[in-house]
Amino acid sequence: MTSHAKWTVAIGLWTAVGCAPLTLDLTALSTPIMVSPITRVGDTCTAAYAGDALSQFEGGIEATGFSAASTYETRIGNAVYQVSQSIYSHTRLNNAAAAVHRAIGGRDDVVAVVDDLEAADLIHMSVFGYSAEHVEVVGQVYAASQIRCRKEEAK
Amino acid sequence: MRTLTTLTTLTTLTATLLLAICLCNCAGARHRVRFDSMKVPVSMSQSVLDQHGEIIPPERQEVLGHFETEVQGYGIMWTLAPLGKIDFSDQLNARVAELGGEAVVRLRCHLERNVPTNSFLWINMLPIWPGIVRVRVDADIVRVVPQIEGRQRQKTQAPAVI
Repeated sequence: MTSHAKWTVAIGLWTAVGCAPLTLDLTALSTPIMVSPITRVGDTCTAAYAGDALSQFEGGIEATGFSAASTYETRIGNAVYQVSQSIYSHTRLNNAAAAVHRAIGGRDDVVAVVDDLEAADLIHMSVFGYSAEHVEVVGQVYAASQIRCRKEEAK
Repeated sequence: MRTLTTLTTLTTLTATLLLAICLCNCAGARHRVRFDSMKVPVSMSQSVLDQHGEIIPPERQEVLGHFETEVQGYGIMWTLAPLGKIDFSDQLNARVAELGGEAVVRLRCHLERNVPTNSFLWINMLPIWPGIVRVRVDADIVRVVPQIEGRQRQKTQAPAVI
């Protein structure tokens, strides 16, 4: 094997064993979780919300660890929960759902509005091979009755 | 002589500081996933609201089609400076218009496996080396079924009682 081929194989192996793919899946929830500026079907105006939010939520799914032993963790607020240890399995966990569900508090007349949906794929530079990937949602819960049209558009 | 000592000290301090910043940081990319100019509501759950603020459950939705696409986001300066935006609005709006949809539901956000540029040893320390995050979203595009039609649909879908 030539030196070039060895390097190609080495880099190929290194990159192939990074953290496995993640999926942020909230489809099991029945309360609307909106990521768009328009909140209601049929509206042509972007939504504004009257008054304060009922509650806030922050959750996501995260994979951290060395290439050879990724540890899947999920963060709900500041707490970190280890979920499973696997590297090649495709993770499909609904852990952010717990944070959103808790913020909704069992009400069926509310809407969860996502302010920030962040995706990151990171490699820690002091420890090469240590990966940290996450998809996170941060947002607020409002009563459906708090939804208004933005003033400048409603004119 | 004194000036030289001061300069050496300053250079050492700067180098140490830069090295510390470099080693404490992460390479790669960090991006906000946006749907800023969507013309219809987009929900990550199975339901959306109607104009009266009532929840439209899956029984009152007719799935017209599926949407799935992948985008790469770039960043430099160890994730501190994202390049461009990840906004799926244009592609999703086009698909909704094509199908005549009224809302998007069951949107899921996937982070794909690490991309090669993130794993280049040591080169990652260069602030101009680009990091990449690969994001894929998929969702169902639906239209709202009128209330009566929705009830009938629910009845036909309900399991038989034994």
